[in-house]
Amino acid sequence: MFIESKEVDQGSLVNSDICIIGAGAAGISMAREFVGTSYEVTVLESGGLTPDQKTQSLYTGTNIGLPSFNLETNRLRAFGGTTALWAGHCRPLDSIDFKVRDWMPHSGWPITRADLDPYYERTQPIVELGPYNYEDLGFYLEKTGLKVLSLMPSRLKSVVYNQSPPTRFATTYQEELRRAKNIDVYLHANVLELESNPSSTEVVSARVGCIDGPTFSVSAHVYILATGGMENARLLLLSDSVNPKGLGNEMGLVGRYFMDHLLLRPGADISLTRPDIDLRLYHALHSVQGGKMFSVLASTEKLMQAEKLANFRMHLYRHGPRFTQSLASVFKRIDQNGQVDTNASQSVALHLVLEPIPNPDSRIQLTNNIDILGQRKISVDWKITDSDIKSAHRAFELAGLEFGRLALGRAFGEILNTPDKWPSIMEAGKHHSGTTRMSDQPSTGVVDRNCKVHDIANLYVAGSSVFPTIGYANPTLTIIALALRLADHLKGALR
Amino acid sequence: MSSSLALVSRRAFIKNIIFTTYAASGLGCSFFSPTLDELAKHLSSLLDHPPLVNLIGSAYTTTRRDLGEQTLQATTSLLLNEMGIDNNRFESLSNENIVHTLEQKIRQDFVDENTTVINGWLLSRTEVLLCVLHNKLYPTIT
Repeated sequence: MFIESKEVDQGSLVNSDICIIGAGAAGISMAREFVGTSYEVTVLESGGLTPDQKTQSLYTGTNIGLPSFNLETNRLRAFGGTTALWAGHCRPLDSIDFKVRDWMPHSGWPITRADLDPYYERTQPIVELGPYNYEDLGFYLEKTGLKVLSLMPSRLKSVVYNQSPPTRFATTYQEELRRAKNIDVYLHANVLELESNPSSTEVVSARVGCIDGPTFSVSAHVYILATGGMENARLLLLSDSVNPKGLGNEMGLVGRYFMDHLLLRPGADISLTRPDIDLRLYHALHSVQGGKMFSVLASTEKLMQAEKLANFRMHLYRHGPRFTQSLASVFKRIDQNGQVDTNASQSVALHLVLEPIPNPDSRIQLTNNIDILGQRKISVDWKITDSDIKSAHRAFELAGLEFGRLALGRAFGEILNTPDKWPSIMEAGKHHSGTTRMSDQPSTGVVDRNCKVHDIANLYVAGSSVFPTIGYANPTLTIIALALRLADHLKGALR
Repeated sequence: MSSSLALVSRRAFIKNIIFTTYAASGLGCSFFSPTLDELAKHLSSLLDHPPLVNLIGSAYTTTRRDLGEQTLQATTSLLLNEMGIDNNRFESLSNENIVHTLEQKIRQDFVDENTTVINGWLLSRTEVLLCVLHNKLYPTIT
């Protein structure tokens, strides 16, 4: 059932078993797991069924770090959340992403890829994907007849990516939740604070405010925070009535380790000396067994270990002529054994998606500026390091080496010329993560392996804010897989 | 630019290797070497867009002044050495084989990371040396 919060009585108390705060990919996936169960579930969504400007303004804040993204336009505060904006690229995190990497400070999850595999598999149909098979590229090559680049295993590899339509949760799952008798979705319900007991060991209620409307409270056995990589931290920090540090912030970690993918689109181009090369595997979508897939280039584990690099992927997008003076055209005859189609001029744009190194100094903090609900806004201070730049430069260099080795083309890029300088075209991936990171120890993380906030008995966090590292994969598949895993955990814990 | 490659006689090749050995060693050698020059022309004919070729060649010699100061013959000799072609092999190599060896060397440069960046382009040092050679042959093309 959907309930308009403006029609709720001022000061009323809603009782529930489970209170899910936020109706994006994580919140909706969690709620669906409880449809038809004996649990009463309350979902509190800040926005309505469609976005509105006033609600969206609650996202405003200041960016005092890398000036690479806008806090308001990167996210959507409405039912369905940012799934209304996502591009649909899907891939699980690699096994290595979960491991402690001695060359990457603060790396390592308390769980493994194998722990998440069953949930990744269950996530595939939720976002309308084909078979759960990301490790066997040969399967797709056989099905499609496409050709793969023959890359040096010590450098790069071609990996499988899946493509969601993309699934818009607001439309795809609205009716299911509307019909569910045990699920109440409150629209325009902004959680202002999670109120705790005097010892800050248990949440007792969620205080809810409605723009131009009433305030009311929700009391539940468990609370799941699923408001995104920035707002999860903000709400914990705002919940400071009992403990001025906020909830779950005894160690001062809430809001730290903010991360996003570093994008260079394109960071370099390959001017093809073999314009006839078939790269459709990489730059087009291919239907296989009810799903769509494509491939990208990615770093190998061997490379990362040998050169102490972060994980990365590169999309190959084919273009027509991009250079007024392609120095690569000089070498066409050599690469084509003397047979040259001099009219063809083709290039491939390399779009890099780089894993950032977790950095405790990259953080979200509350400021003294307030939003229209009287809540303190955030500032985001995202810092990158020389190691990040080193990985980015090396990624493009390796691509250039491989295209040259294969006699297919030559690489051009500003970053190749100035390897120590971050190119001005750097963007963020809009994959805000890390601010309530997962760790078995309260000294190094905000939530435990079950996504429960350390030392708070009934508060859980869902979403990319729990990621200790983010690999190169888009986060949605992992966000949903973790939400399904959390739902399973709660079903056991609440029994 | 033509891609056809005339065969170079074994005798001429040997003669020129003797010449280039002297030239490279700095002992000096002033006799005319038409065959080595001819080989330089053949290898240069593999390159397209002469102004761009010379741009690469001249850009590289600004960082490698030693190459800029070399004679054409010495640069040709250096290129052959880079390709791993020695006196003994010359006798058995046709121009096609030399070109094949050049192509393989360029591939290998990308394996070995024997590369350089010219104006933002990641290029093999061997192919860049070939551009230097071209620049010496046709310095007026810009």
